[in-house]
Amino acid sequence: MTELVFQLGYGNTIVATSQMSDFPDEAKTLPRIGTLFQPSLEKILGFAPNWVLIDGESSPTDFESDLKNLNINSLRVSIRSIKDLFDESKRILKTIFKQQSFEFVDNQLNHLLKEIGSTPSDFSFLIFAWSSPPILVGHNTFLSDLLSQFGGRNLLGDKIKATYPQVADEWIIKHPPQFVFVIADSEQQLNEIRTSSNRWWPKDKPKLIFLPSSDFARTSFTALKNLNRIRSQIP
Amino acid sequence: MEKITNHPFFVEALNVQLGFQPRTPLSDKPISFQLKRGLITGLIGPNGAGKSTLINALVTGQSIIRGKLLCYGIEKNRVSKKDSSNLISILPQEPTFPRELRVKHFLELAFLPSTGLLKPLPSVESEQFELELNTLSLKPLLNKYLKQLSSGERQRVFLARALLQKPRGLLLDEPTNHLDPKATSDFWQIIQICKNQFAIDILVSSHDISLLKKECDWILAIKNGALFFDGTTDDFFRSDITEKLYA
Amino acid sequence: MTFKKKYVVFIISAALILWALPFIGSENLSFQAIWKSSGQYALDHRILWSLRIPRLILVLTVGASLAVLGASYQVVFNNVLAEPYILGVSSGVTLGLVVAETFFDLRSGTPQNIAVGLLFAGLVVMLFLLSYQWRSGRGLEKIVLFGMGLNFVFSSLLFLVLSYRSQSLGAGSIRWLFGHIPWLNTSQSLIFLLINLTFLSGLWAMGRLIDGLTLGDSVAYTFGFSPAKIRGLLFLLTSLQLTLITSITGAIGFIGLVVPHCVRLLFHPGSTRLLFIISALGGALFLGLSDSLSRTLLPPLEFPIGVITTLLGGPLFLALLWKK
Repeated sequence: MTELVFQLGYGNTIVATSQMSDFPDEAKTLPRIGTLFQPSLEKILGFAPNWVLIDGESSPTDFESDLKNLNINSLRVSIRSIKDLFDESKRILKTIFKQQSFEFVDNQLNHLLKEIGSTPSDFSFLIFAWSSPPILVGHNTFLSDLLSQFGGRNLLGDKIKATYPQVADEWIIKHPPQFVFVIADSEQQLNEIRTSSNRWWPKDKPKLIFLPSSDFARTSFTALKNLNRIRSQIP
Repeated sequence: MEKITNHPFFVEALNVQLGFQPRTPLSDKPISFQLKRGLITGLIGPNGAGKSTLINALVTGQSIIRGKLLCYGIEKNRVSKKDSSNLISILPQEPTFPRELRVKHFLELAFLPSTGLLKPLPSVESEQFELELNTLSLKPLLNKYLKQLSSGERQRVFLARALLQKPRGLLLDEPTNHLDPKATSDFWQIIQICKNQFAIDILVSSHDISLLKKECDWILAIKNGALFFDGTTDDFFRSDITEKLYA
Repeated sequence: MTFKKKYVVFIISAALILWALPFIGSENLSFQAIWKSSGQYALDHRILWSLRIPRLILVLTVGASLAVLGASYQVVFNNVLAEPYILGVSSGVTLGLVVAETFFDLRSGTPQNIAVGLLFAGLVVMLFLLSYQWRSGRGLEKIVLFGMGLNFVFSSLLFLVLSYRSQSLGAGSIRWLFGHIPWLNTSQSLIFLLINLTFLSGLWAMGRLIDGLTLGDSVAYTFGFSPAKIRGLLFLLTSLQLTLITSITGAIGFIGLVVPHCVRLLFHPGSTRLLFIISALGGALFLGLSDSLSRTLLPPLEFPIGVITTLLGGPLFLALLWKK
């Protein structure tokens, strides 16, 4: 989210962030107020912010009321799909920064639509976050939604609400996708999935596409910047 | 085993010094005694005097700093595994037992050392058990669980287990500590019967002076890790040694 | 019910359940896939024979082994709360595994990778143990406390390492903490079975010696046994076996504690050997059922097996205690 605010052009208004907010580079030097799961109210108070942006998935649920008691405004942001990315960005701009026009966001939207093209293809996919045990990325996530924009169908389906479910090998064997996306830190993890992939689907041989987590794991406009990587590999 | 059967003495101590650390014996005075065959010897002494250490040393061969402690003429570490169980058996002070075991299965454990790895243990119904079961009137208790028995009954079961090893000698470490007076006198009656029936040598450690006076033939008294008295029961109780012992 | 009848009922139900287990999972397989392998049956056939059967072999082996290990500790420590992880061996292994992944990039995947790197961890802990006071009966309490201490230390180190890593890598470590059944092929699982069977027969053979220990150290000495040697050998064998198992499946709790206890409450076996055999069967069944449940609770999700064993084991145990 820190990165998102930078991308929206307001990076210089950030006084502090949570641990591990390392993107973009400027964010690395920002002071920290604890982890996403356990932010420190004390430290936050110390910075006397006008607003606190809360990550919808990870932060504690009573965080807003705690902040309210301290007379600090807060905005909880939850991005689970492409639409969320645009809507929430506008909400942030409108609520916190009192902006009325959203030039940057609209440009991003146009860029996305151009990449997708006028006739989206139709392909099946699975996104792997880990190979042993097999952990997939669920339907209800930003990344999955991004890929569906290109006409992809997450074989995991929308009945499964979990975002990072551990799935049984036998289901995987029975559901070979056309594309396997691997979200990982390194090529080594990609190779592990490749080995597993050959084992699960020796006949089908789906195409493996590497999504480095540095580019695709965060819910911000960064993923949209790297869309050509996906675009070029899909028919 | 022949040599053992014919050896004149049950337990012999030859200038023994007991202790837990190699350089700190319990006493400077070495212990020497010889227990004759066919007697019930009482081991007596104040708490911490070394009674249990002596019995433990006899059974494990440990805690002997100097001298030799012999059982039927052999030191513990020279006894072959095969002969071990027929030499002496012990009814320890706080006997442990597997909780869910029935009496009959418990008694069969007495034959652990003498049964091969792949052969089943002899059943309680077989001949080898007859004498002990009858002498100790254990037949009605066979199917009960150990935890269901009274302490007196359990003590009889433990004694039977010790006897089923078919030993030459029997060590009893404070066997009537937890028994009520009736159970205690019953137990001693059985000991006397065993002595005659099974022809075994018995060493009993106890605090119960009156009972020792009644039942034992020989007394061994230990104080502060050293031998205090070694002689007949009559001699022991004729003098005022008892007071001096517990002073 | 008499005990003979109980044993018969148990064995028959065990056989029936074992027979059914390969057919339970997140996917419904067609019955003909058992022998037909072409066309529409190809995938089902493959799932049944290349995935489920070796998995079942692995699961049954681990279940049986953990139960017997637990039983042996419960007898030797004369303590119903004893179980295989009491000595801190497997938390040492888990720590080693996580450290290997984090700092040396030795990832999971093939059992060989793991087992090699981690025999180390297990052995280190074992050395700790063997140097300590298992000699005397009174030393047993100290060992348990020492093992508990080791567990605390290793667990905290483990959580330290886990929180140091970025969140995405944390996923893999769950498998070590909560157990994971890897996909071994048939020959690998058979080798695993054979190795564990060897260990288990060793334990079975030691059963009589362990019976001797239950009578007390002094009685054991009069039998010509050496309690120190028996305990030492037992800890050595069990630690080796546990290290092997943990390095393949991670830590799967509850079986070693609950199964032997239930066996004793229900069957009152008359000897340690009998206890081992029934516990082995019970443990195999328990883990087999847990594994099937982990894949059928919310298909296609697969819950870590350690979670299921705890979910099942806890209430089962309480129910049994209640009845008695």
